[in-house]
This record gives sequence, C-alpha cells and structure tokens, in this order.
Amino acid sequence: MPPILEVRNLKKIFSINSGRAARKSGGPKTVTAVDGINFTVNEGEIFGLLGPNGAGKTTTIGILTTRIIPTEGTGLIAGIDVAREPIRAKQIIAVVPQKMNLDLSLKVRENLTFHAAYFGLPKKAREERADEMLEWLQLKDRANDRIDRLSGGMTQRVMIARALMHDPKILFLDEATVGLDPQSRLLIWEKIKDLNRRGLTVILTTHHMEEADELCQRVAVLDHGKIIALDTPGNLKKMIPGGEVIEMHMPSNSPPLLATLEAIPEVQRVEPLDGMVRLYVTPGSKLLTRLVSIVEDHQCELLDVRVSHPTLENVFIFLTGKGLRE
Amino acid sequence: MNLITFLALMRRDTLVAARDITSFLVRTLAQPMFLLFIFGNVMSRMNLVTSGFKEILVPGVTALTMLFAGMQAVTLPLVLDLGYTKEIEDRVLSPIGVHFIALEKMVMGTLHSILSGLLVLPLAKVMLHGGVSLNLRQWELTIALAILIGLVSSSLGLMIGSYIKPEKVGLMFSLIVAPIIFFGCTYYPWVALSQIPLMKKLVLLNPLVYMAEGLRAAITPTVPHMPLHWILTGLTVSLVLFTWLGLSGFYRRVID
Repeated sequence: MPPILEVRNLKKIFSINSGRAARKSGGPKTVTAVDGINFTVNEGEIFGLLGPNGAGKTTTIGILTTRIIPTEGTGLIAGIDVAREPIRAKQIIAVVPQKMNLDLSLKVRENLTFHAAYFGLPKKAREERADEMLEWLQLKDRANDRIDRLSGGMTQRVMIARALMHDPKILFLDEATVGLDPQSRLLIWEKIKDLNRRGLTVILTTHHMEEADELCQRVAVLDHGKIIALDTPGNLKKMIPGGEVIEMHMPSNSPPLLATLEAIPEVQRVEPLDGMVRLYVTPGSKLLTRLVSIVEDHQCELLDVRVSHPTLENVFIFLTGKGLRE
Repeated sequence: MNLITFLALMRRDTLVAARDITSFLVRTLAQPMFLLFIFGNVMSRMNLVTSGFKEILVPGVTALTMLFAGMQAVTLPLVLDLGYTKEIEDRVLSPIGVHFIALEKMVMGTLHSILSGLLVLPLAKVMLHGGVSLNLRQWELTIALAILIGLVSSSLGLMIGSYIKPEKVGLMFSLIVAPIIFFGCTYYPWVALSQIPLMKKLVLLNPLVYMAEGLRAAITPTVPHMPLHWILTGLTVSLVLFTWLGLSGFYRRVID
C-alpha cells in the first residue's frame, strides 16, 4: 500500500525577533523547530510523534496541516504538496489542535454543521452526520449548549466530532488528551481506535508515553527537531539494553558503588540520576537481594526499589539522557 | 475561490450578527443619536448653529456611523478570533484560500456599514429640529458611495484587527478612533478649512474626510464640498492601501 503521508527533509526555522528588536540585539535570532525530518505513514496506520514539549511535534503537524510554511522540504498528503496546494490538502485532512479552538459564537451542534458547510456538505447530509457524531461521542444531550458550558473532556470530544464532519482521510491529533481526567482520556483512546478500525489514518503527537504505547502502530521519537528513532513501540523498547529496568531510589550514591554495580555481569548499563540509580538488566536475573546488600555494603541509604519492563519513557531517556517531561 | 465555502462563512457571520442584533443597534445608533440630538436639535434650538449646519452635520454623522459600523464589524470579532482562542483556525482550515476568509469579513463589514447608513438617515430626519432637506435624486452616486464607504471602513477594520493585539484594543480607541472623528470633517465642511491651510492638507490623510465629503456631494449637494473626483480618488486609494495591508497582516497572523 502506498504511503498516504510522506515527509521529506522537512525543516522549519522561526525567527523569534525581527525588525527593531533584531537590530537592537545585533541580528535576528532564529529557532530551528524542525530540523530535516523524514518519515512516511501508511494508509490505515496510527502513527505517533513522541517527544517532550518543544521537540517540534506541533510545528510538524502545523506544516502538514497547511498552517505553517516549511523553510525547506516537502510534506505530501496523498501525493498533494501541502505547501503548494493547501486548499486541496485541506479537503482530505482534519485537525484536533492542542488548544481549544471551537467557535464560541456558535452552539455545539452548530460548530459541527458549519464546519461541514465550509466543506460543502449539503444541508441534509450535514444534519445527519452531526447527529451521528454527537451520538457516537456521547454529546447528544449537549447539542444545543454553549461551548463555554462544556467540560474539558467534552470540548475535546466536540473538536473530534467537528474534525470528522467532512469525512477526512487523515486525522491529526495534537496532544489530544492533555489535561484530561483518566476517564475522558480512555474514552478518547477508545474512539481513536474505533476510527482506525474503520480505516482512518491517524497521526498523533503526545508526550504521554502510555498513550503512544497504547495507540500507535509506529512511533517517531523527536528531540530538538530531529527524529532520533522510528519503529513500532515493541521494537523501540528492544533498544533498551537488558530488557528489564531496576530503579533504586537513594538520596546519594558513590563512585565505588557505581563501579561495583557495573561489574555485575547481568547489569547492562548503570545510569546515576538525581536521587536514583537506574539499572538496565537482563530479564529474570533475580538480582534484588544482591543489590540490596551491595548498597548496604557501600553504606548508602536505599529508600525504594522498583522493577519494571521498559516503557517508551525509558526508551526516550535511554536515547537522550533526559525525561519526557523535563 | 470556493464559492460554497465563502457563502457558508457569510452565513455563519450573519447568524452570529443576528444573535447580536441588539448590541449592534446600540453600538451603531447610540452615538449618532446623541450627536444629532445635541448638535442638530438642542444647539439648533439655542440658535448656537446656523440653519445650514444641519445639511453639513447629517452627511458627516452618517459617514462617521458608517465608518464605525463597518470597522467594528470586522475589527472586534477579528481581534477575538485571532487572539488567545484562535477560533478562526477552523475557518482557516476550510477548503478556501486564506485571503478569502479576510475578504469575507470585509464583505460582512461593508453590509454592516451600509445598513447603519440606512438606519441613520431616517433617524436624522426625525431627530433634527425643523427637519433637514436631503437630496436623494442622485441615487446612483449615493449607492456607489455607500458601497465604497462600506468597503473602505471594513478594510480599515481588517487592517486594525489584523495588527492589533486584544490587550491593545483600548489604545486603538484613543489613538485611532478619536483623531479620525475630530479630523474627519464630520462637523465642518472641508472647504471651510481654507482658513487653516495646514490642517486642510493634513486631514487629507483621514479616510473619513472623503466619506463625509462624498455624502455631502451626494445627499446635500448645496453645501460646498470637495470635487467628486478627489473624493473618489481618496476613497479608492484608502481602499487599496487598507485592503493590501489588512490582507497581508491577516495572512501573517494565521500562517507562520
């Protein structure tokens, strides 16, 4: 199946000051938000862009949805160059943005029907589709409410409903579940999976590793505008040496302790962090009691020990040396 | 251009405006009502103004009302749309060129402006002491001028709305609105400024001058006014300049 989205050498440099401010500070300052990225997304896939805030996820989505003009490179959606033919591209994409941008002058249902009208759906078709969407997203009894009366979770659902009104081929979700309570988040996850089962291609950005893990068939890990890894969540986790993670929480550690830990054959990697030492170990090595006595022998205080399987967060830390929420 | 999208955008704005009709009427008519009452009724009864003053006042106040109705109909929603909530994003993502979204705002502003003019003229007839003689025989010129005044007003609104940040709206009123009103030949004809030659030249920068003088030429032609070709040139130049700046400002606000 040919890819529905192709991103080739995409780059975006923003100038953060210009004109008088630039002359004052001795020249314009620029920020490279997206730094030459390449990836493709296949039709029917849920593809994730994972990375911390400022990694370039929202800029990438902005370019692919025609709101940001790339400095270099191209984004092709179903073969259409988004920068050259934005109007054609807009017909087949839909966006659920990070920030609420519903039309506050319109009621819930009108937000949906007017969106459909902008896309040329005839009256009968848009009324039917609005009903269908409101029902599906459990918003039927709020159809005639004002937008400012809705909770965060409902607002997010209205934005999803609105995005789907013109039957897009690709849905872009930019941090779609940020700030939602767990229940709302699970409902949205379920709806995204449902849409995907019906054949919709979904591209989502998140800094929530669980979300990427739960939903995405493939994930591109972004940091400082570059893709530093791209694979299925399973394969990404296999990048972690060992395959099991042990976190020993301790207020302080010592170089001899770290050296002793590194010398254990089952320990693949030792990461001393603030208030914690993280070990990547071979699964099933039954090291816990040995580790506890080693720490005691070095007269270090051990507050807590946690054993886990690698998550995408560990992958990110492994690749960049820092957490997703930093 | 995608005409279906353009019409849907107009339908959206019409619905929103219709819901807001009371505040539109108050916003549009309160100021001219007070102006007409004080200058054309109270002061006229006190014999503080000459009898011909009403013929100067009515086109001036009508032009002023049309300017603000057209400008506010574009600027106020645009400042909100482009501000924190970015409500316009959904419309920017509709299948139409971004410039047409701004042009649609201008069309709506023009309609607001013309509607306000249609409301003020009968109001003037009623409010003024001893009535006022308006010449409606040059109806082709009046209609053409009304459309042109509406377009200039809404393009000025587009320009201001695209450049101004929501927190600066208050500043806009003191810096832009006040000088436009007082240097706009609203209460005095431009020709009479011959006694103050510098001001006579400087006020030519004010689009309201051409609007007020234009309406004088159309509906009270007996009042001395600027030659018609100057009026039309002034309005056309303003329209082109404001539209160009407004469209490019709008584009910069919605596309990075």
